[in-house]
Amino acid sequence: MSSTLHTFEQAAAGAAHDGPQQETVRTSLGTYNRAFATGRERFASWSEARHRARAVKADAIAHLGEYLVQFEAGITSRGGHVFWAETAADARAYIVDLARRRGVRAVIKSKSMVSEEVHLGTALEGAGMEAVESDLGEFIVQLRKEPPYHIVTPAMHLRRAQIAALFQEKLGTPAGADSAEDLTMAARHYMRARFASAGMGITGANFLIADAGMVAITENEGNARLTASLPPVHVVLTGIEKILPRLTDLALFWPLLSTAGTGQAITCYSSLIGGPRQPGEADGPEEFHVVLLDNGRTRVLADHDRRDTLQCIRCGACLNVCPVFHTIGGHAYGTTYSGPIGAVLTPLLRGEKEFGHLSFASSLCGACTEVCPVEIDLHHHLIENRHDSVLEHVRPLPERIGMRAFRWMMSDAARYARLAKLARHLLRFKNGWVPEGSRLDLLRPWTASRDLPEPPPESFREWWQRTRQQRGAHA
Amino acid sequence: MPKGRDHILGRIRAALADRPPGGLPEDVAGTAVFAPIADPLARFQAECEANRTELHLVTAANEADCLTAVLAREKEGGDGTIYVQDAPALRTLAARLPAATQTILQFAPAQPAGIASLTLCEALVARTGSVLISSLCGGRAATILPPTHIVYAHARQLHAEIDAALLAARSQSPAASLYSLITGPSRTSDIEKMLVLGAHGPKRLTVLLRTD
Repeated sequence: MSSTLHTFEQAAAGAAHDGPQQETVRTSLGTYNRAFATGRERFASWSEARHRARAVKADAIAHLGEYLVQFEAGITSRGGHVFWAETAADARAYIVDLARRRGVRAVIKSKSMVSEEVHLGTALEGAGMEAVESDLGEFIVQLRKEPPYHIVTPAMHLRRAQIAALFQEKLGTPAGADSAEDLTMAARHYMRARFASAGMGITGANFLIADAGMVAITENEGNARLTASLPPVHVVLTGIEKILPRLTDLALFWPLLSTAGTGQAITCYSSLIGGPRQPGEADGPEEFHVVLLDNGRTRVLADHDRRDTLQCIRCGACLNVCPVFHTIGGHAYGTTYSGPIGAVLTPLLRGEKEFGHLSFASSLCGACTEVCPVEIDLHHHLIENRHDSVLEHVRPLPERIGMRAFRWMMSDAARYARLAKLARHLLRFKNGWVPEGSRLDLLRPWTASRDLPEPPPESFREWWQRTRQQRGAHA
Repeated sequence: MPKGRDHILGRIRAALADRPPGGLPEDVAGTAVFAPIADPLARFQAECEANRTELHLVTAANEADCLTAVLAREKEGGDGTIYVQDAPALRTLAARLPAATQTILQFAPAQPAGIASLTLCEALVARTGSVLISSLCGGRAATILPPTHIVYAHARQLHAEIDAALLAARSQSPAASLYSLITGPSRTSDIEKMLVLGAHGPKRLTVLLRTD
């Protein structure tokens, strides 16, 4: 058993039994679901919107090289720099070197899942720099030294009282200041000084606009705007797949992302940034860098059947509707991207061997596919990933033996009838003597947490045979 | 450094050797996706109310009085400067304000201690009740740093849809390094999904919209 699988099983079982946390997460997801339902009604046709979005993203991915070159030309024409990072290590090295060259001591970060993917915070701290997350949810989980729980709502699993206690301990906020307003203002106050003193601001990107040569960033708090405005250097760290062909595509993608992400008609700040401070501008950073990350994405691109996973706009909707995510939460996955999209992407980006088990953490109900705003066929990809896992022999030995035996049994009708009858009798016999789910139960791995209905004394096949005469008589 | 570029672009080319046919839909967010807006101004008003933008419809006759009242309220919150974008339209408007109000105005990029900013905008969007600004509207900080952002706009700048507003901004101010579509005051719901205004950006967004 791989260590990632073992960790996953332990963490998933722990989270599934953490009642209070599940309650918090369910309340949050309930609020989301209501807002999302209302948000969709703002569209004349939500399904038409998804359809067009898929077509645009599919085109963007199909012409990825051309669009990236066009995007790069726009950035460099304004004096910005574009760095193409093949790996997470390349991206880290480029940003740490840049920070060193600029003599940066403190970095202010705005929410970016790609920076989680490459572990940028750890790299900056390793180089002796302070790196503070400015998004409220990210800041909260950073203070707890935890990864984000959810790609859109990082602190979704925490209750207000936990956050109040955390702020009291780490920021010295007064004991009574525990309303959402108090806590938000405490973070605002704390962060203001950091925005002013940071030598570098790092943001992610939601879209890269090819024809405009600009980066589009979606947010509600204004922290990304401040990160891109006050420090003398602004770095955007993003994946190559975030491309959109045209500026005008945002008229669809901004409302689409906001609706699917939070249920909002549009987020508070939908910004486009194309370079450092230009001649004639009052302020803005002296340097602007865009780091375009591959880190396995071109490998996914080469896989014709799974290329559509690169259409993902990271809205988090598939997490929000997933019954598995509802039960085990975001941390159990042990990956940057969790939920259905994480279970599909992680094995593709980081290997079946270590992460193939995530494809099995799904009931295949298809809610993710139904909700996806760019129509990624998520649950079918989970089945395809499972297929790969089997072909690559990364499934556990008992399962492989069991499946082989099952195939042997199913390949002969008479054999199936005999063995099924035997199994039925054994099961009825076992249930008569061994309490279900107890330690003596050989089927405990299944029955410890699931029902196994008692088989009837007679199979359908036997019943059919026995009653055939009667039916013949009536006919 | 160019090695990474060549490698990634090479891998993309190789991966897409079997590129599927098909192209871009021309009309991305047309009427099949969004119902047309009959009365953009009415829609803008309704959306502003929903997203908590404070909207004042003004004319040449009452705009100075309206702005005086808006600024007086900001002054009550504490002493400090109101940073104003150095634009002819705002200089003209400021000259019509009472002398006491004029003393707290400063035509300069916004600083951390400011209590408010007053800027122009590139365009307005009816569909979402949004204000589109650029970095040429007083700089980047002016529209995000102060606790209150006041926008002086004209109904001529109102577009029904986001794409039209973006294209207008790009043709008016092609050299801007930043555009931002602002929809209401800064907000967060990161703590138990409870809405709090003024997370990091302005707590109040006020729009004075000239309708004459």
